[in-house]
Amino acid sequence: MIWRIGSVLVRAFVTLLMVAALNFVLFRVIPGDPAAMLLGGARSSATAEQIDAQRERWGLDRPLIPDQVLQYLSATAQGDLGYSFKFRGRRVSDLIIERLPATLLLVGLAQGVAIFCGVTLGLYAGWRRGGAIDHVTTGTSLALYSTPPFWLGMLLVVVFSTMLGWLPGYGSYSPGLVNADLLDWFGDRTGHLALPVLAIALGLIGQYVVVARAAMSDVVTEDYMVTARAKGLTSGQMLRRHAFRNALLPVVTLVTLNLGYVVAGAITVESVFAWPGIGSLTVEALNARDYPVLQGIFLLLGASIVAANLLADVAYGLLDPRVR
Amino acid sequence: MRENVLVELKESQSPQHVRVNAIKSFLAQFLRNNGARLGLLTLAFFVVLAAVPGVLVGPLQTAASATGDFLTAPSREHLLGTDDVGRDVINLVVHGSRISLTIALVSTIISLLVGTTVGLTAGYFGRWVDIWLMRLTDFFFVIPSFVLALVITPVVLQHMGRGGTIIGLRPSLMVIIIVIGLTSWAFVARIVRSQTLSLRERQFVERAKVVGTGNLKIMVSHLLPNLVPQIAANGAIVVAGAIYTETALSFLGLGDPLQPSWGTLLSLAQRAGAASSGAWWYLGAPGLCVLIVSLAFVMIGNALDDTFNPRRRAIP
Amino acid sequence: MDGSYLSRRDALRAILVTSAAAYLMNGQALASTCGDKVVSLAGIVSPDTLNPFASWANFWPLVFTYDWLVAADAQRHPDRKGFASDWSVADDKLTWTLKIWPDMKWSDGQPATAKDAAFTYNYLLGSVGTPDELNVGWNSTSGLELVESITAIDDETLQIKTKSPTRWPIDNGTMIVPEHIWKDVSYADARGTFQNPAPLVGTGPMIVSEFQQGQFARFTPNSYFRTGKPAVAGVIFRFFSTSDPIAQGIKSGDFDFGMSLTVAQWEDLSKDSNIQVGQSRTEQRNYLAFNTKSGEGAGSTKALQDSAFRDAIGYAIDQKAIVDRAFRGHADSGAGLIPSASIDFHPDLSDIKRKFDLSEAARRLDAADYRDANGDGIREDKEGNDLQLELLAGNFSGNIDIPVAAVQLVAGWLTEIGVSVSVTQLESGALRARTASPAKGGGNWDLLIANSWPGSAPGPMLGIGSSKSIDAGNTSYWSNTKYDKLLSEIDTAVDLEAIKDLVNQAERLIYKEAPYISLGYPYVLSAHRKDCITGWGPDDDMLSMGNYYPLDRLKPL
Repeated sequence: MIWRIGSVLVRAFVTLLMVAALNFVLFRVIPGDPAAMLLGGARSSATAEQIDAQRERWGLDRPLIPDQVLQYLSATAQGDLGYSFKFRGRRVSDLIIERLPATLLLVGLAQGVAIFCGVTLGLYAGWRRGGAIDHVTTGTSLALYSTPPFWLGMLLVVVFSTMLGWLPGYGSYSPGLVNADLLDWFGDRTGHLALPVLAIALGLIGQYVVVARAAMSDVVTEDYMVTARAKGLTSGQMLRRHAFRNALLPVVTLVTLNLGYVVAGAITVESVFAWPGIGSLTVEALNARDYPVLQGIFLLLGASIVAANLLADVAYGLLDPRVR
Repeated sequence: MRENVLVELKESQSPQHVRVNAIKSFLAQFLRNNGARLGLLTLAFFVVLAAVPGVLVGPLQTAASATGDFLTAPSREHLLGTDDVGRDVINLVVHGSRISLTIALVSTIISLLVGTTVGLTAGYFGRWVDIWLMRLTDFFFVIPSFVLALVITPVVLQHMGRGGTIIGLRPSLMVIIIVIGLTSWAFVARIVRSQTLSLRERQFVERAKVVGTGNLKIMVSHLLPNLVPQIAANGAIVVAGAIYTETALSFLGLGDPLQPSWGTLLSLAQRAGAASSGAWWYLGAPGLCVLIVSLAFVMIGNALDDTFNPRRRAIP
Repeated sequence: MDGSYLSRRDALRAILVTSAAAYLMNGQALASTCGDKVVSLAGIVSPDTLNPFASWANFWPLVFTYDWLVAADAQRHPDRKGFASDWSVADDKLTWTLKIWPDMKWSDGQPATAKDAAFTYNYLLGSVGTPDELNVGWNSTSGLELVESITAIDDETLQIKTKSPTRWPIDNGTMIVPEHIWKDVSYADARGTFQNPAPLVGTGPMIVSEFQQGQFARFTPNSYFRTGKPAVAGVIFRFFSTSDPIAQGIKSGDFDFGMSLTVAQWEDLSKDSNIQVGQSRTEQRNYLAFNTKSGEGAGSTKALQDSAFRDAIGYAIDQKAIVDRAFRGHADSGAGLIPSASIDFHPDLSDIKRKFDLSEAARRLDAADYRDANGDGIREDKEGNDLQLELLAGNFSGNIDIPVAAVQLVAGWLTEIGVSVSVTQLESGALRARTASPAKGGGNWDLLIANSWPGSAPGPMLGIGSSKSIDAGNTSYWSNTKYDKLLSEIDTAVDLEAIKDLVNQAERLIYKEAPYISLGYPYVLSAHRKDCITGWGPDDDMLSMGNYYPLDRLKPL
C-alpha cells in the first residue's frame, strides 16, 4: 500500500516537472531570439533596454545548463511566474489568483449539476435497459457529448438572450446593481450563471449518462446481482446495497479524469460569455501573445490535473475492494 | 466469451485464407450494429462533400465573389443564409468540411503512428524502456491535447507565416495538424502497450524468437496485425477528439480565415457579432456539422468496440 | 422498482428549478431601470494602468479625468477647451503664450494653475537623456527636443519657448497632472511600476474612483469641474474583449452607450426605437504598401521599385467596393494618406485620383512593359520572372482591425490583372518584425496590407513616407528627398494656411509615386440609448475620440 502511494506520488511529481520543463524548453527550441519572441506581444514597440531587461530576467545570457534551468525552476517553485505583458506591471500569479474564484464557481457548479442529473439519468437508464426512454436518453447523451460546448453556449445566447431576452448572456453580475439587497444580488448572480453553467453542464451530462448507464448495465448482469435477486431482495434494496456502490466506481474515475475536458470547455465557454475567470484570461493572453500569463496558466492547469489524477488514484484505491 | 481475432497458423488453412475469413466475419458483425450503419452513412456523406467541394458548390466564395446580401436569413437562393460579407453559408460549410476533415484525419494518422510506436516499443522491450516511455506517455495523457496545443501553437505560428500551401493546406493549418498529432497519441499508446504486454507472452512470439527472428520483424509482422483491431476501435474516438480540438483551437483564432474550417467559421461568426444580432444560421450550420461528424465517429467507435469486445472493458 | 426512491429526487429537482426561476426573473427585471443616474459605457479597450507616463493603452479611462493643454478637439471645437483657455504665438514664431483658466481647481480642492502645466512638461523634460527617460506612455518626451523652455509666468499664464517654429505646443497630447501628487514620484517609478492608484486627482469632469484591470473603471463627478459639477451621479465604463456583450448590454438597457460594435450588431440595433446608432470618423488609415527597397531586404521583383508599376496597380483597387463590401458602407473611401476625419488637412486629390478600371490597369501594366509573354495568365517583370508576390496582411496593435474581406478583395483584383498573390496573415508582433528595416531583420516581402493611426498632427500623418521613419512606421522603406524637404518645412511652419499648402504638395507627390495605396479610413460604430441619459453628441460624434466630450454635459432624463 505504501509502495503504491509512493509510486503514484513520484509519477505525479515527474509529470509536474515535465510541465515546467515544457514551459522552459518551448522558447529555446524555436529558432529566433527568445527575448524578442517573448516581447512580441508587448504593446508598445519594445526598446532595446526592455529587451535587455527581459534577457536579464530570464537569465538568457548565462549558460543554459545549469544556470538557466536552476534559476527558472527555483523562481517557479517560489511562485514567481513573471510579469504580464498585456496587464503591464502585474504579476502573473496575482492575475491568476484574482480570476480563479470565478472559474471555480462556474466549473464546480457545472460539474455538480452534471453529476446530479447525468448520473441519476444514466443509472436509471442502465437499470431499465431497452425501451424508448433508454434509447432517447442514450442518443441525446451521445449527441451532447459530441457537441462543442462553446457552440452550445452561443446558441443558448442567441435563443435565451438575444431572441427571448430571459437571461443575460455575458458577465458574472450587473455592475449597475450597486445598492441591491441580498435577494436581488443572489438573483442577479444566478441569472448570469445560468447560461454558462448550462453550456458546460450539458456536454458533461452526456458523458456521465453514457458512462453511468454502461457501468450500471455491467453491474446488473454480474453474478452477485443474480444471487441477490435469488435471495429475495427487492429491486430497491438491490439498487441501494449493491448496484449503486459498484457502478459508482468508473463514474468516480470519470469525474476526476475528465477534468481536462472540463478545462478545455471552460476556456472557450468563458470567452463566449465574457465570464471573468481563468478561461477568458487565457484567451486574452493568447490574443495578445502574452506568454508569461499563458505559461503560468499552463502550469496551474497541469498542477491541478495532476492533483485530480492523484485523487482519482486514491479514490479508486479506497472504493474498489478488489484493490485492497 | 469471444477472444480477440488472433491470427495463428492453422494446419489446414493458409494464413491469407484465415485472415480474409476473419475480416469478413468482423465486417458482418460490425455492420449489424445500427450505430455503425448510421455513422458510416453520415461519414460517407461528409467525405463526399470534403472530396469534391468545388464540384458541388463551386469554388470557395471570397469577398470578391460573394453572391448574396449581407447576413440574410435562409431563403430560397441561399438555403442557409449568408454571412456578414454576403457569402453563401452552404458554400462556406462545404469547403470547410474539406479543411476540418483533412485536419482531423491527418492528425489522427500521426497520432496513431506515434502512439502505436511508443506503445509497441514500451510493451515489447519492457523494463527501463517501458518505464521511461510510460512517464512520457503519462504527461501527454494527463495534460489535455487542447491545452498543450494552446501553449505550443502560437509560438510556432509566430515563427512561421510564409505564404503558399503545403499539400493544399496553408502553413498555419499544417501547424495545427502536427501539434494535434503530437499531443493526442497517449491514449492509443496506453492501449497498445497493454495489448502488447499480453500478446508478448504468447506461443507464436516465443517460437519466432527461438527461430531467431529480429525484434523489429516480430513487432511489425507478428504483433502489429493483432493490434490493428484495438487501434481501429480507438482510432475513431481519437478522430472525434481531434475534430473537437481543432474546432476549439480555430475558434480561439489560431486557424486561418482564408481557408476556413468549421471552427474558423464559428470564430468569424462570433467576431461579426452573430450571437448578439440573432444570425443563428451563420452560427448554427458549422457547429451542427461538427456535432454530426463527431457523433458519427463516436458511434462508429462504439460499434467497433462492441464488435471486438462484446463486454465493454475499462481503459487500462 | 422502488418508486419513492427516485421520486424524492425528482421532487427535490423540481423545487430547485422553480425557485431558481423565481430568482432569475427577479434579477433580470432589476437590471434595466433608470433609477441610479449613473452613465454606463462599454467598449473594447484594455487599459493596463492609470499612469499616463507608463502606457499608451489607457486613453480610456484617463481622458475623462485629465485635461490636455490644447490638442486637436480644442482647436476644432470652441466649446471643448482643455487646460488652456486661449493661446497665441508671438511674431518670432518661437514664443507661445497660453492663458490658463482662472480659479480652476483639482478634484481634491487644490488650485490648478499654470504651475501644474509647467511642472508636467518640466517633469518630462527632466527625464530626457537619463536612463529612465519617460518615453513609453501618453505623456512622453517625444517632441520635447524642439522645446527651449516652459515657464509659468503667473498662475494663469504659461509660456513655451521653442528652438524652431513648430505647432507642438498646441498639438501635443500630454495630460496635465497635479504637481502636488507627482512631484515625489521618481522617474523609474513613473515609467514602470507606479500605478497612480484611484481615486485620481484631475481637472476633468469625471474622476476615476475605482479601477479593476480587465473589468471596469468607476468614476465620480468632479465637484470642482470648471463649468460646474456634472449632473449625472457617476460613470461606469466596462471593458470587454469581444463585442457581443456590448451589443447585448445596449439592447437590454445595461449600458447607456457602447462603442466598437460590428456592422451586424449596428444594423440590428438600428431597428430598435429606443436606441440611436451612430458612427464616428477616425484618423486611422488602411493601406497597401509596396516594398520599395532595393538591395538588402528587397522584394522578389524589381517591379516593386518602379513607380509606373505601382501606379498601374492603383487602378486595380476599387475604393468604393472596399467600402461597400468589406465595411458595408462604414468607412470613408481612400485617397491620400491623411484621412477625411482630419478636416483641416485632408487633401483634395480629385484631379489626379485614379479611377477603378481593371482594363486601364492592364493597359498601363502593358505600357510599362509587364506583359504576359508565355500566356500562363501571370505577367512577367522586366527580368523575365513571373510576378508572384507575397502579400503580408495584419493589424498593428491598438488599431481597428482590417476586415479579411478587404484583403481578399485586393488579392482578387491583383490576380485578375495577372499579378499572382499569395497571402500571409500575421499578428501584430510578427508584423512589426517583418516590416522592420532590413538592418534589423525585416524586409524580404512584396506587398503589405496594414493600418496606422499616428495622431492628428500633419507631420506624423505624413511621416509614413519619411526616410527618418523607416523603423517607426514607414513600412514601405520609401524615401524621397523632395518629400523629406516638404516634411521638414511642415514641421517648422506655424501658419495654418502655409501648412495646408505644403501638405497638399506632399500628398500629391506621394500619391503619384504610390509607395502606398490607400484602402480607406474606417469608422468606429457606436450606439446610445435614448432613455435615461441625454446630452450625447451628434450621430457622427457621440463620444469624442479625443476629449471628454460629452461627459461634462450629460444629464439624466
